[in-house]
Amino acid sequence: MTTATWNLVVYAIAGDAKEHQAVLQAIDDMRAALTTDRCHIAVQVMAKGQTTRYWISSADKHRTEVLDAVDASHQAPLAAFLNLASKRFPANATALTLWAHGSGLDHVHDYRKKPGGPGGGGLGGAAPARGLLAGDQAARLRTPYARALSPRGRLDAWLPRHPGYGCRWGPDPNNGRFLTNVTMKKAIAASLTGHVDVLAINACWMATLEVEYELRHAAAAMVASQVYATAWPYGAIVEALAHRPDQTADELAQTLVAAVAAEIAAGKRDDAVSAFRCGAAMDALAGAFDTYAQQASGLIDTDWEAVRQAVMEDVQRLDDPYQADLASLVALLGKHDPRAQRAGQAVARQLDAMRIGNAVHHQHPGLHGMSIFCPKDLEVDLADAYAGTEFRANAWAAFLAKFQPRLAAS
Amino acid sequence: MHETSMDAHKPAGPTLATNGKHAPAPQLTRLTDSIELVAPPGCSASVVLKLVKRDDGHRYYAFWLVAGRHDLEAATVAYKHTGEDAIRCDLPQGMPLSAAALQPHLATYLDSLSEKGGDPPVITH
Repeated sequence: MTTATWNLVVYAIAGDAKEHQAVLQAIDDMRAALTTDRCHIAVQVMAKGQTTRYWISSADKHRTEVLDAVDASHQAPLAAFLNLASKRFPANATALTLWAHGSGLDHVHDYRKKPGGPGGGGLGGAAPARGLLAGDQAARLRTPYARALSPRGRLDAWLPRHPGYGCRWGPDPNNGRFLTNVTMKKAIAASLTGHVDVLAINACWMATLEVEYELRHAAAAMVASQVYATAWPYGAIVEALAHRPDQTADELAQTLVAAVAAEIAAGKRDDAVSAFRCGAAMDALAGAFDTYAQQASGLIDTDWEAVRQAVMEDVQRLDDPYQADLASLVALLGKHDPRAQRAGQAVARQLDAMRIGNAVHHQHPGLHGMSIFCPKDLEVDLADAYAGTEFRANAWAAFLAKFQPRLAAS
Repeated sequence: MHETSMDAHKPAGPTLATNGKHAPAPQLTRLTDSIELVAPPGCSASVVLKLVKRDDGHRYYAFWLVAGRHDLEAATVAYKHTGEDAIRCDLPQGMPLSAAALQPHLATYLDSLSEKGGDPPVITH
């Protein structure tokens, strides 16, 4: 087989029959749209009790392999599939799409709900236990999702979650566990190429600075959504790629955004998607934001009312209760302070410079493609939310740690 | 009761309750703009549920606004949309206003949206 320009690798979780049908429809659409031998498509679908691989190329239209279930919360299956795809379909570049449920930062919970640990592990004390199960574990088992799990899955569901931190992508349909962004990063790094060219996460709320910073060296460009996301138009994406298979990573990221934008314009969907350059550009963004956050932290002491007003009332929120639009934040928090204003403008300039594409339905006004963790909730365990992530060293973590008790005291 | 332009918010048809009788079903819609909340004719109240918290496995919605109605007399409450997730529920007459009564309808509605962040909802109270 000759070396193609692009491999589109789709790594998907089908948690129920409806989701499985959606993935199968996408596979049909992609197969119909693939009209060139310069691109190949590899799909791994992890469903309950079974994993299926689909190898799609114009020459050898469609091959299917059925395997036993794999644990999608571990790094090994993702790294193995990336390796197998690159061997089976040699290509100059790889676009990896991770298609499942997501929620941005993973370990966002209240202090009092922090599991286990001496003294309860959180500032709010131990998790309340009732019988053999903690309250939240028992509640988890009563959900329709838990009832649908296998006996082994139910067992895993009430066991304490493994100590991974980062974005929550999944869950694995057999054990209910999630792939964190740290594990996602390690999986891509452990693959033969050590990175992909485009990383596209088709899941809710993953277009956050924290997630994209964690994954900045995993890809040249990243595509994700700030809001509740629905399935992307995979057939249209492959059609555009087949029409112009020599796209750069930036251009393919733009192709993805354009395909979603076309559906938004046609009234077929109401979500959002954005694309950013990663690597050094993301380092520069995080650095600029660190400087800005230091300035903003000082304002908690000197201009508390303006800080409170900005965070609690003015900054553009989205449909996740813990996130705010990054561009809106740096424009509004500190707008009365010249130093904070200059630092915020530097963040905005960098964000504009690295944004490759952004498509937003009109029901999400004021979204600029990237979010930031900015809870208004006094009970959110801030340290745990950032634990294990590279972003925890950013001055924004210190801002939040200072803001929360000040808000509680006000 | 006369029909008005509010028919767009007319409650969905009755659903079959577990006892075999038809139970009134609320009409749910996601709010995407600021509105003046008024319960439509035929409804006893309009409620806004706002997503206030989530954790490993659940989305927690709180009662954010309630606007009541009795016959032609209806309260009007301003709702300012901030971009956060808010669900409007128009409760038909006869349906109790409670978290327990609304919860299954909220779960069904959110499930129908096929979103990729779809943890089961819990209405806090």
